[in-house]
Amino acid sequence: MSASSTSPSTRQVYLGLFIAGQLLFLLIRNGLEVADYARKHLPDAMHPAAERLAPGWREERGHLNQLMETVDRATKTYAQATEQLQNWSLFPNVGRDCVFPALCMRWDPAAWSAPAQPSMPPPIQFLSDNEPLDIKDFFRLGNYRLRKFEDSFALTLKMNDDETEKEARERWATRIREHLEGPQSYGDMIFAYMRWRLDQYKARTDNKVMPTQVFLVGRRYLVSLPDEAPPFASGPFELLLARWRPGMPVGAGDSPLEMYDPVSDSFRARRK
Amino acid sequence: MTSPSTDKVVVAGVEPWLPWPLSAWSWWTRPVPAERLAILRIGLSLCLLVDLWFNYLPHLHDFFGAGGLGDPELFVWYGQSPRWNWSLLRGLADPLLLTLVFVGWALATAWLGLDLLARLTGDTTGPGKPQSVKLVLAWDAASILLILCVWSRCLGDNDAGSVPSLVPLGILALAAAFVLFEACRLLRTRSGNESRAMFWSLLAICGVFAGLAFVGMLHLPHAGPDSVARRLLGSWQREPVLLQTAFWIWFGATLGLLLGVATRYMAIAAWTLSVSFAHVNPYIDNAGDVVRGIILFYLMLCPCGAAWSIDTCLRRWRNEDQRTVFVSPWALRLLFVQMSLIYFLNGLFKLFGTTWLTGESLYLVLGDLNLIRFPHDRINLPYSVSVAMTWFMLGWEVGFPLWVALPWTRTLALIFGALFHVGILLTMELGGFAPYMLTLYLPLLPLKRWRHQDDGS
Repeated sequence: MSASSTSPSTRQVYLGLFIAGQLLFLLIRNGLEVADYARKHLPDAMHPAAERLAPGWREERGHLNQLMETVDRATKTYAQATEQLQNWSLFPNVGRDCVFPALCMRWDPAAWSAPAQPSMPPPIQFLSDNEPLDIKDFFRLGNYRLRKFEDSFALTLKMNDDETEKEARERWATRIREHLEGPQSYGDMIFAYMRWRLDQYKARTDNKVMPTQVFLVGRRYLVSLPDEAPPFASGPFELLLARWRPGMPVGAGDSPLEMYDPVSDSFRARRK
Repeated sequence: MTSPSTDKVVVAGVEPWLPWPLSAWSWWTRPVPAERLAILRIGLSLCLLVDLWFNYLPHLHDFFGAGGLGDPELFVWYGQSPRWNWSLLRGLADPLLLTLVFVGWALATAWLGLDLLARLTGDTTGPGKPQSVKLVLAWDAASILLILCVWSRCLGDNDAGSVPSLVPLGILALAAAFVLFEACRLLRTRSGNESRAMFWSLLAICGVFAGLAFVGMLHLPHAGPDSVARRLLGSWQREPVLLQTAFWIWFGATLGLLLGVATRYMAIAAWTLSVSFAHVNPYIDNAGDVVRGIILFYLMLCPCGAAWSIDTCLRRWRNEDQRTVFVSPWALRLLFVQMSLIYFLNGLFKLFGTTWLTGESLYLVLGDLNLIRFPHDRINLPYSVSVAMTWFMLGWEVGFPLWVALPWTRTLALIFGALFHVGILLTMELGGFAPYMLTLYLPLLPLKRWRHQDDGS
């Protein structure tokens, strides 16, 4: 099983260089992820030491920073092109909140939680396929890709201990606006989800009449603290996020999806 | 099959020339039984087939089709500069795909041109290397892809003009120059035993390019909005039939990979489609899918069909070759390094978090209604036990490279790792994460007990 004593062929050399490069890529790409995290979370007491060791690196300037940015771009390009992403940070912090999106459909112009108007069909709440109907008795198998999609745009909004309800509502309004509007927002994704879920609702039921209002509601459950359990979770606590009025004309440059404003308890147009 | 070192043993695939210090490290150089790669291939293929059948197929249009959760307009940003997340499903008009094809074509052209020049001016008069014909075939494929990409963009812009015929004509001129090079070489050597395969293959492709130039000139300007050419070259996400076709090719390639039929080509197809699907809707994937892509990437590059495959059976039947097959261990070693980094990095970032050091994490994860298979009440794990397990898992993850480096902790660390993923599989719905991670453990199984051979692993 000894290696051939003759000189290596071109293919052997290329393969060897690829292996060495791949090993370097793994070590460098992961090292850069750690360095990036360390830079952002470096304790104040370590700043002088970091400055002496790597001048300017902490403030994202200097030669080391320049070198790291160049290597970062090259390794990120390779990682994306070969689908070898190296973001290994799974569950670094585990929260107590679990949020499920739900659609609330109405066939009248009333508010989402108002009772149904006479002669109108009652409002329907169409829960996510991932939300347990009974949190004390369920079994889940499959659907994780849909859960991942729903998780990506889920928004956890709750009151902090040190704020009033008015302050909380103002903060929520800002969060909802940032979440739904702007170039990095989830607005288009959420709208696509709402349309898709409405199609699913119509396909699963006999009710083919298009609702006049479709609301997106975040249903949040809170995991109990160990000394409060059982029950192990409480909820759902519902908060409105957005509204879509199918068939309703929208202004030029506006999206059919409207953002909920918890301060004024109304909806605002969302720019495309 | 190359480099047999004894009459009973053969090493499949290319044995790499490794630079120092890898060359001085037997862990990287000593061949291992081909079954170790084969079990990785089989395990990954099985997991992927289950994933494809139960998670992809029922929601194919929902997750990837137009109007669904993976509408091309929703994730167009994921393939735009500075990102390099390419996908065949976006169609050949996609600027990133065109860039990659163009770079590939330019490299192949330079390589082929230099090869022909070296053959023309070199002193060697022996028959041409078989690799040269493969190089011509690679250049042909890259050239045809480039032409299709340009056509696709012209059709998308409804501006055919003269470009659809000019590009094949330009490539035809280049091919004609290559034919001339090869003809000059054949005339110069005037040897009867000279292989003319390269000359004829280049001449044949000239005919193909001339045909494509005619199609580009006569047919493309008249292609209607529903023409076959426009639909085939455009985004496959917008055509349910083509999306289904891509899925079934992926499924077939994975099945071929499982059985080991034309294994290398099946692995290439499976990886290409795995990346293509992952890059058109990144929000439905988790870390397990990244691990799947990484394993397929290595399988595509190494001789994973050298054992437990139909390819091997056929080869043995034809050649009556009963030698024991070994392979170079590089792919398994790189995967092991990757696996160690996965655990170490996860552990490290958890150390910086809050809930792991306080010991709350496992309790909270087991209460997460998004993830768990059944209510927390059913598990009824005492809180003190969950705290101890949280700390134990943290220590295991962050210390994984050390535990597997030390001989007396290695086996225990790996057994715990496998049990950890089985535990995740039983208690949480994380899709392919646990199965794909468990696949990484398969080559580490004590195969020598099955084969009664000491492979030094």
